[in-house]
Amino acid sequence: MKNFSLLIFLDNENIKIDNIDTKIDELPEKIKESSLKKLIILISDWNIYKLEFDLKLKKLSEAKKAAENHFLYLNPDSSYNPKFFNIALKKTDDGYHATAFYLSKEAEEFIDIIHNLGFKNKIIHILPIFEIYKNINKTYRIKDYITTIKDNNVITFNIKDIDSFKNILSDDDLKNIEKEMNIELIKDLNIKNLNFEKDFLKKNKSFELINKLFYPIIIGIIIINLAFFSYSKYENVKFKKIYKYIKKINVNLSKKVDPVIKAEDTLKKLAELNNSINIYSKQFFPFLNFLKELSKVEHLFINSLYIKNDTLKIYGKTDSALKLLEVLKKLKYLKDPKIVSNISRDSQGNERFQIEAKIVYGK
Amino acid sequence: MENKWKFYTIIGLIVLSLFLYKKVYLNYFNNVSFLKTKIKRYKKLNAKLEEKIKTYPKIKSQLAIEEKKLKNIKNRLFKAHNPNEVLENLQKYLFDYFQKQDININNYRQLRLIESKFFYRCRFEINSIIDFNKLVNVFEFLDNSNYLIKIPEIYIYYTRRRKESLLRTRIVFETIYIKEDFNETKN
Repeated sequence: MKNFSLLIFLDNENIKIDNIDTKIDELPEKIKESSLKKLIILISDWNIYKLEFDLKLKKLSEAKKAAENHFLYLNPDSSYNPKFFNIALKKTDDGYHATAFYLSKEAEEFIDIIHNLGFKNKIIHILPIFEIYKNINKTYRIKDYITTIKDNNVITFNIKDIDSFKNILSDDDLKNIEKEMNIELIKDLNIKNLNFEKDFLKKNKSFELINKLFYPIIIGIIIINLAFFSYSKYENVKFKKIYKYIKKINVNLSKKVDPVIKAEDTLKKLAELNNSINIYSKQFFPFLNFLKELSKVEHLFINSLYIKNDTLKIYGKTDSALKLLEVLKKLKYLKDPKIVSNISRDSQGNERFQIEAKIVYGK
Repeated sequence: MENKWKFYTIIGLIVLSLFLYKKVYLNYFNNVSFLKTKIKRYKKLNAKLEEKIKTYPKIKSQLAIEEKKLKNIKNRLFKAHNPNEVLENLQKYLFDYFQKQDININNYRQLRLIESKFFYRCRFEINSIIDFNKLVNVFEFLDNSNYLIKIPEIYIYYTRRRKESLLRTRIVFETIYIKEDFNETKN
């Protein structure tokens, strides 16, 4: 990334702080993409005030202290205390003549804004335009001057003739400045087109925010991580314990339940066996009972009787086959008894019959 | 920009946190949810097992009842080691009775064994000429017998012999033999 310095022309016309933000929005691409190494602010004479007073003191050291206090005391604008001021002492017959130079409130506020944009830790040089004008064509003087600034990081003011900076500084002069300061200047800038991009401003603000919140964010992230780790680990260990415990219970219960399952299985088999034997024992014809019922029927002669494959067949003679059929129908263990042959009568008037019925089990 | 390293440190930490979240915490959380599901299943299973264990006395008492029933049935069966032996015993039992009652046996035969799930049905057939009263006695004998003997097939045909009214009969007697594995079960 290219290092360069920003040369800001701060003249009377553009010192209005209210307009600075809007103008900063349109900073050229070159500045936006680069990182500033040095910042030089050139202040016009309209923003530099002069205050002169006499001190009747003999010693220079005493005079210096008194001049500083006196300057602050005499400061005509009580709404702010100038940060950037310089007092020059000139010996007179009865003491010293002090000349104090200081920046206007607006100029100082402008410098504050520049600080807040992220240049606080950059070396900021504030040069009065007229001083450069005075030393024009005398580059060695400029060099001395800048050295002074570097050493003290304060401004030295020396008011002389005043003119517009643009008209005064030629390209050669600028080149000389670059050469002396070993920097690259952006030459076409004045406060009118010194417009920072909004993004740039925002970026700086966000970086400022990051700067402020860096440690809290780091601590926060670490705390969140620790919280996640400890919570997840704790939950994991807790549920592992519960799982082991419940599994152990399960193993114990399984041991206890084994005989139950065996017994249940045995019971099932036994019940089925008993049930099937029970069904088996019912699956037969109550023959004696049947004979008793038949013996009650009068005039009945049974020629033959079959029971096979759950079917009863009777062949015989009786005075009324239908009467016999009625008797058989009343028996619970017979289903649908019917006469299956033609009924014929013999010489004695008896009916020959052939009856068939299905046997019903369990009745 | 001197704040850059701070910015990248924060981004790096966030990325590291996300990485840790995905690789470590998420694994733990997934494991926890997996364990929770398993615990839930085991709880249900344990509850079922406990319920089953509670039914043990009831099953035992039912088992005792069923065993008693089976014992009673077993007492009514011919003691034998195989179905053929049962047939032998049945034959002997019937012959004894027929001999006592002086019933003539024309012929007899052992019929096939019918196999069912739990037992064999052992059939034995007797052909005889018998009067009615004796036939009734045979059935009474079977009804009162301690053995479980049933008659699946009967053929009775009226006949006259020497001016006597007789019945030509063919009776199939049947009893059962419980299969060996069920014998073991009940023991």
